[in-house]
Amino acid sequence: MFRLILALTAVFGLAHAQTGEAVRTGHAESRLIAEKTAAVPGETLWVALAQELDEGWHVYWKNPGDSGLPLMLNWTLPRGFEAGAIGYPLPHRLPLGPLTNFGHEGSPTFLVPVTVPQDAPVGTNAEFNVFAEWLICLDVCIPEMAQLALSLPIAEAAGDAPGNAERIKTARSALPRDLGLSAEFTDRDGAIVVAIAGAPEGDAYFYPNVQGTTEPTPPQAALREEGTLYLQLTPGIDYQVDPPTELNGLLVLDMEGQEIGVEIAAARTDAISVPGNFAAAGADTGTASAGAPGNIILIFLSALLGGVILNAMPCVFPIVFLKAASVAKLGGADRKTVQADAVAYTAGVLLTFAAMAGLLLVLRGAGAQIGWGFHLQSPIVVGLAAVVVFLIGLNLAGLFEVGTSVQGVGSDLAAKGGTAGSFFTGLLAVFVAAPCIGPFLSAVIPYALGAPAIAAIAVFLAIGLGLALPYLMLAAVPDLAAKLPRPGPWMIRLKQVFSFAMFGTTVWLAWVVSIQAGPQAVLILGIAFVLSAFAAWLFGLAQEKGTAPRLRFGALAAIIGALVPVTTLTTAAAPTALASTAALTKEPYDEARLASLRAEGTPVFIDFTAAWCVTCQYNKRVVLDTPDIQGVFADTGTVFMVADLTNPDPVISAAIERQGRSGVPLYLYYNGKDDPEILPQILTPDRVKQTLEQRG
Amino acid sequence: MIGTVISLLALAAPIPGQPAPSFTETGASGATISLDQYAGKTVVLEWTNDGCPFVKKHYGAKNMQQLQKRAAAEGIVWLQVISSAPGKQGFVDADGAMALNAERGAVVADTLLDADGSMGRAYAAKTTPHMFIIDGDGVVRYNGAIDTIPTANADDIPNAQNYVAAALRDMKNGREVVTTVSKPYGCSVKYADS
Repeated sequence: MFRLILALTAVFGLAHAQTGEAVRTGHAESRLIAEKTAAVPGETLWVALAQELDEGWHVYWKNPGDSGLPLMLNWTLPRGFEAGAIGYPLPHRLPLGPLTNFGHEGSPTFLVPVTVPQDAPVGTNAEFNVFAEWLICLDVCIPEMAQLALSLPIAEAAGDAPGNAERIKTARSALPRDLGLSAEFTDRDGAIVVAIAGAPEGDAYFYPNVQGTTEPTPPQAALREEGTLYLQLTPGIDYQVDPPTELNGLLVLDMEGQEIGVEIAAARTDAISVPGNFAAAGADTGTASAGAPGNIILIFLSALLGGVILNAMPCVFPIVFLKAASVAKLGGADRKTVQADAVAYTAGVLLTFAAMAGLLLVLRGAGAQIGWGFHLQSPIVVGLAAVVVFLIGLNLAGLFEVGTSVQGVGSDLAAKGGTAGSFFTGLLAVFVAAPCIGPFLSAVIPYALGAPAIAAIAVFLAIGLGLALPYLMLAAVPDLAAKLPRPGPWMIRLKQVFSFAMFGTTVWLAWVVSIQAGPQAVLILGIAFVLSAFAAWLFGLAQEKGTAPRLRFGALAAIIGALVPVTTLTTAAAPTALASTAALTKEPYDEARLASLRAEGTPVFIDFTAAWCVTCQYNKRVVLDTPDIQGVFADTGTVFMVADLTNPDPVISAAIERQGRSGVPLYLYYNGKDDPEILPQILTPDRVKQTLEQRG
Repeated sequence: MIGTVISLLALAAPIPGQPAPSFTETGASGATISLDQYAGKTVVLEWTNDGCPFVKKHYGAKNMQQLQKRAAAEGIVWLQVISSAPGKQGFVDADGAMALNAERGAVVADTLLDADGSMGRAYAAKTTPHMFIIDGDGVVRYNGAIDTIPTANADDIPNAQNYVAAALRDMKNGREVVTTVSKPYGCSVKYADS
């Protein structure tokens, strides 16, 4: 018994060893955290100083701006261990009257890579000690310091430390990247002009590495021309006294609230041809010209047309079948019923679009890195959708009825039941259609995400209107509905046939859940299917027998029993990146690797994909994974990277947005340092071959 | 927008070798002080804020007072400047400024009360302390920090090189000032919100 307690204590102690004791100073709480559960000899261990700052207080970036001091870390480490330079979070501008500081608020994570020596003695503990000093300011400034410690076992292998690993990984993904961009600068009319070729999209601000290089307060005028970003900086006193030959710093690009940092090393040159009149550009530091009125009309029309086309996308098919079944009922119905049905469907579509767009905007406003179709990144949502679609299949197959029976068409009661059903169909159509962004939508949605909230929601509503338009036409043109075939027994057969489309969709959604949440989740989902089928059967029995409250209660209990476990699904710790059966090795998306491949001129094909994206799966099966195309990849030496968005990933989301897109599929072909070629969303073998073989 | 442009123009930092911005401010003594009246004399400007830990570092260790006494002995005019806006840290009235200096044993020609921040902006004063040296011809000779170790810890003072002392020594000996610009460190100057 005693030994058991001892063992438990050891395990418990170990579980917490990756987090050092928090030290509370005047306005901050600081602790050391480690990404892994142990230090592995010969490897680099990421540790971090994790701080929680009081509301409104800030600490400083390595260049603190007009005033302030950067973090100082003085390490005491076991023999042979070495701490690298501090990896700062991306800085923000903190204005203070006429002064501006560069710093961090909230919960900054300061990363430090620690090299663990080959001969570190396994089985012992490594003690990490650091004396940290920082200046923390509200408007008043207070120097704070803390002695922080962390004890970690040295072991042959280590796992992710719960909590810490996520925080450190997020911080690492936000570290500045070296994209190998070529940059130059020159003096022009008392200002510094930096030209950065191939800078990604977004509102730009350049933070020099060294304090005093530029004045932090004046706005930096920005201009983009032919793929080059020009920034106008105000020289600081050090720059004026001793004009440097190199200008090094961090370019932060803000794209709709998502920020990326790019390292810039600019060389002095006299040969920049600075475009046009920078004074005019200074007023508009924005990047998009999408705000022009003529453009807005075009965008709304594209959105409407995109909505209509959405009806023909593979992933809306099941819903189109469902809609077709209900339209078939309307043959011979009076005009009022047809109109009520169309309006209800449209209302369902529009309301769901507005709700999803609103939620998306709110979440993005709160800083979430998500795009359109984000709801399918949750295994709970996908699981619940699978059960709902399964129930619809059972309904079409005839196990139970919703609201009314086929025979009742025409009666007032039926019209009511049909209307509610149409509303629900509209809701479901949007829900399922979301990830299938048609080619039109991919141009429109990024605009909507960047536009003021009202304009954004209006664009989404235009898409919804397009989606509903074919059915509205049915209501608006009287002869059209009259031409529909008369209802009859054939409709029951048709519905039964359509039920298989629903079961097919169920299989697809179950497969998505299996990738998101692992085999255990499939088991839970399978039980949910059985229970919900049981509920549907009980409900159908109750309908046959009249009221039968006990059967109805049983049905309710069964459906609750089916759904509740589904809400416990969580994303698996390590999603397998859409494992491929093909012989070609596919690499996971890695921006550092991409940059080095581009630098050495190796062509790279990137497949931005997700399990919940049907179009992606279609392209994969029909084109990308065929032996023929795999052979072309091998012959041309093209590296195949997979950027998997099945579960949320801020780095991949940011990469997609840099291409002006907001969702998958997206196919990019990089040939050296040039801008990537964007392939169509529906691939054909010839198109892919042509792209891969254009080289040489 | 226009206000921003003006305040930006005003923040163009005086560079060593160039004429110092002229100023006329009321001192804590009640006198009106302008740069012109010190023609022929070396002037040291010290931006200060008694609540700032970096200012406390140099006054608490008597470092600033010693420097002030040496300067006074050599006929150098030492002016403190307080650009804190009313209600902000470091803001004091004339009596308050006199009392503070009496208490700390500071030896200064006067303390300029720049509550509207106009002089601070003209000099692009960023921190407390932030030091300027202007020679007898009205030319800026030094702009920057008090010394080489940017901390609030008084224990660092003995190990630091004092930029102001070094520049004054160079000027006294008729040599070029070696370090004319450094990065001022300390608390940000508590200007009025613009």
